[in-house]
Amino acid sequence: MEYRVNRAAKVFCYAVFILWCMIVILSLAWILLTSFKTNKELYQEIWKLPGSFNLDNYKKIWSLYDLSAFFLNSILVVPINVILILVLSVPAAFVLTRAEFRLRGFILSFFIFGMGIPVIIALFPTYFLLSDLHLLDSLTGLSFVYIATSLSFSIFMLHGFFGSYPVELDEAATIDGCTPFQSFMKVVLPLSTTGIITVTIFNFIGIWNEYMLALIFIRDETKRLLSVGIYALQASMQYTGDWVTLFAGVVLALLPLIVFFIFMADRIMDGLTVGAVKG
Amino acid sequence: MSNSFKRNKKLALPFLLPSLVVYILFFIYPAVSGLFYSFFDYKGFTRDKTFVGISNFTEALSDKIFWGALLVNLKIMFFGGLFIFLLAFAFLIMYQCIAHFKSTFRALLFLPNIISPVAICILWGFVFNQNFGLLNNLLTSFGLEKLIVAWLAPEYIMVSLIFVIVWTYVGFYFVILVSGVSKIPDSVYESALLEGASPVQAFFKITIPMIWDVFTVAVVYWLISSLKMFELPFSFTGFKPRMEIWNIPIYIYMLGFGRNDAIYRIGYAAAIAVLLSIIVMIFVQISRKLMTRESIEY
Repeated sequence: MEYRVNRAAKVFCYAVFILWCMIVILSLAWILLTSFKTNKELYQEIWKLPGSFNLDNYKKIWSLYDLSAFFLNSILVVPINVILILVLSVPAAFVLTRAEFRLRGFILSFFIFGMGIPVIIALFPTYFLLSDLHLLDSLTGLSFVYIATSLSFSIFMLHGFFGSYPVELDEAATIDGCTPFQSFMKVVLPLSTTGIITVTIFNFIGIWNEYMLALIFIRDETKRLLSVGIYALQASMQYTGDWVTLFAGVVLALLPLIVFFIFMADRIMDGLTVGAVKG
Repeated sequence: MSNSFKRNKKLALPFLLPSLVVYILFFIYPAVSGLFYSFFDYKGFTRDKTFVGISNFTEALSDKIFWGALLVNLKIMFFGGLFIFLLAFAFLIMYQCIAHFKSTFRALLFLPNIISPVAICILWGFVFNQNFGLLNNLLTSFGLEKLIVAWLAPEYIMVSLIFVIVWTYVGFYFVILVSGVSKIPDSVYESALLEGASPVQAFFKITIPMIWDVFTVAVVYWLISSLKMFELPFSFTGFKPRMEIWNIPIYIYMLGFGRNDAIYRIGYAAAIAVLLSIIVMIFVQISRKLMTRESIEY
């Protein structure tokens, strides 16, 4: 639907959007271009193009600053976490939306209530809990915390998706002789791909960028995640002043998300559409 | 309720149990323990503790840093929210006036939301830099030297921080509002426009009332996430957040894990975390009360 407005107003609207989008693109382009510069070039001509596109900064950050190890940790841990969140939240959200049993409403509120609890209140007890379970300084322990704190939002979003199908769907599956579990696997799951993809993307972005918990629960430097690695690099910049190398690190941290986003942008937007409206 | 919903009852336990166990063990149980911690005084980072009643809470109420941090939280929540929603609605009207490249614009507006807060802070740190930053460069080239200030100096740092927060998150709330509008049938608009309503009138008479539910969800989401915000202000001034932009989550982190100072006041930090949770709930309840309207069927 569009309003019929005069030409001048239309041009103005396009101009505003183009300007805003240009700022977004240029900021990313600036990060990328700076990562090819030398520190001298950065300080002398901060807004100019690099003299040559050399990959020295990338080589340096990959081996010297050990970013390769952090990158591998993140590439391994984040997808596993995201999958486990789905394995837990999709069935839970399904029965909380499309089954009838006692305490259904209570349990749903109990999960959604978690969205309002600042994770920071659980920080110190979680620290002791992980230490009791010998899961401090372990990526497994951190994963449990990530999964537990992501369930509220995931179930909330999925509840919106599962609520948007007509009841007749389950009934048709029932008439066709499906058991409840079969109809969940064969009817509901295939129809929910948009919702599942949306939740996947949000959790992926959130956990990939998270660094407060990762900073506190992981002390062993070899187990660092990329987000903490970048943060630690930023911290060390005040001594080394090696900013261009940091930018190479930032590019590496952004790259998977940007690639992901380019292919998924439409699905993210559509997913938000369904989820938000029902929520 | 349909019969199939009753049949699904069998799945309830096996489908719910795993997530309930993980959720309770690794989130709810520690969160409730946090509540208990707030009534104790911890000697350093150990479990030796003495019961101190509500003295952690009374101490917080007379703690100047706590009130300063709370003020930062409220400034981010109020001014950040104000500008985010004003801009998001302005974008929404403009979005309804154009026909081409809509999904591209929408995606690019959303894009800053996926960038890590550390990267955003590094980027804007270079924009706001007093000596060679882009902003002051631009002001010079437009002959506006008198507007040049140290954007990261104590007097201006909140303005700069809120600007960056708005720039980062406005796209998310814009997309949410667009999603609300996309559910309004075209016929509703067409009849209004046929009757001679201007876009501005249509916006106030149709769009706002029709997306009120979505708007309420968005506001509540903003209240929660702005009060809990940690990463962006934490890395805004480099690796150590400057005190002018300490909000409550940063202050809690500093009390518990601020390594240089070795304060480690876990009980006190837990009390402040409890206060933060109460503040979040109060704001969520107030906004729900203020914004609840009879829902409009269409």
